[in-house]
Amino acid sequence: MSISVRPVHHESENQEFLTILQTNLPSLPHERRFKWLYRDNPDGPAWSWFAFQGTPSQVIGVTSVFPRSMWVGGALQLCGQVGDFAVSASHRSLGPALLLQRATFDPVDHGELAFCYDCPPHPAGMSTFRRLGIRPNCKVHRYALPLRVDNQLRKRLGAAAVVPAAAGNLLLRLHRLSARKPRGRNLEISVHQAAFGEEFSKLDAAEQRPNAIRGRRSAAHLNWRYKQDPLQQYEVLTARRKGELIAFAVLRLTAEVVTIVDLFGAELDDTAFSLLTAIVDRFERSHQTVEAFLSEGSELVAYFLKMRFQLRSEAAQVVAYARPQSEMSGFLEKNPIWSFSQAEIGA
Amino acid sequence: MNMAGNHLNAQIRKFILDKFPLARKQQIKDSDPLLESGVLDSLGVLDLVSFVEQEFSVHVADDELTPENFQTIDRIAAFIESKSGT
Repeated sequence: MSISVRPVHHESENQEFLTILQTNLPSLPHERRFKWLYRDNPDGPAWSWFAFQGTPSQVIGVTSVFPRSMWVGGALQLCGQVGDFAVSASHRSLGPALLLQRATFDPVDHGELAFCYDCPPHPAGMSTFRRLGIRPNCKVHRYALPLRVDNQLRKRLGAAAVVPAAAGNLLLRLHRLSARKPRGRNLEISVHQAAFGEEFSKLDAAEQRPNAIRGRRSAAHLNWRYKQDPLQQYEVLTARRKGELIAFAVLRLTAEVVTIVDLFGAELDDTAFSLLTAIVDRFERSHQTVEAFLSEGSELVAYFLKMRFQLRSEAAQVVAYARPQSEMSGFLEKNPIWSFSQAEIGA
Repeated sequence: MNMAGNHLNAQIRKFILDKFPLARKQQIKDSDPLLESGVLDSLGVLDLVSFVEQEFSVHVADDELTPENFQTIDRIAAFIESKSGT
């Protein structure tokens, strides 16, 4: 029986939509995040498609594209991130996934998006792109800075871990201290608890690179992404000079790991080091590791490496689709710098 | 099943057993589901399709990448037979 793809009508098919997501991507609480992720995004509602076999109600797969404003070569463009891609186990024969992947190109082919991009975290996610002859545009790596070794050693040695853990923590601290730089001139680092204001939009608009691609960080986007997220809480640190916002970092905390979701701003020679130092100082007693996800070519990589972060693994590949022979397609073929972090690849 | 069919099944089975450790672990039979059991994921199907195209000189179109054609070793063999007219 043939397999086809059709758009999802979120108002009338919400239950079917949530059911197939929950069945095939069970680790996420889809109902709790649906309205926020699919409807309340300030860049617009998501597009979604069902793959079905035979009759339209026999749904066997689903995917979506989430609109995302991006700075592309210094110009603001509406792009889209592919996500929530799921196919029933009995239909993972590549054909349904190919149909769904092609459907995500529709808003691009119809001129509604400049390009769409996907960030498969593992090689299996690249199979449709390989079949379509689309190559990845860049890789995203996980960088990590160990803060403590207590938990690791306790798991291995039990009570005997106390002395080796103290020695290990001291060595790690000395290793980090050897990379320290004095805090940037007149920079004040502080926790930002209020909503993101227009000063963040101004900073975003002021920081342009002619050959780079990155997500827009408007106040509206930041508030939606980090203040209204129903599943996660974030901590924000700002770097200011005489009250003026120069840079900021967004952190997600778990019991052991601090993830730097975003680090963005001006004067990175000063602000990146100052923010990273502040993050280490703040969490070196309570957390085991600081991690970040950075694309190849991101200017942040150099700062993280100087701060003794280590490249640990490949976390994702970024694969973009623009309309063939379009101006955007030409721009992407010139190998621009993908300045991506968790801010662009996470949802 | 004819001799050619038996030979096809054996070639496909050998490829799957060589390439996918889960197939060896589960000691799959020719009628066992490969997709639902997790023996093959989409990347595995891609590898299998490349093998089928090269080894049996058939072209597999995107709309032929369906569970009907790739669900079991028996079905893959039947699909190749239908494509090559043997």
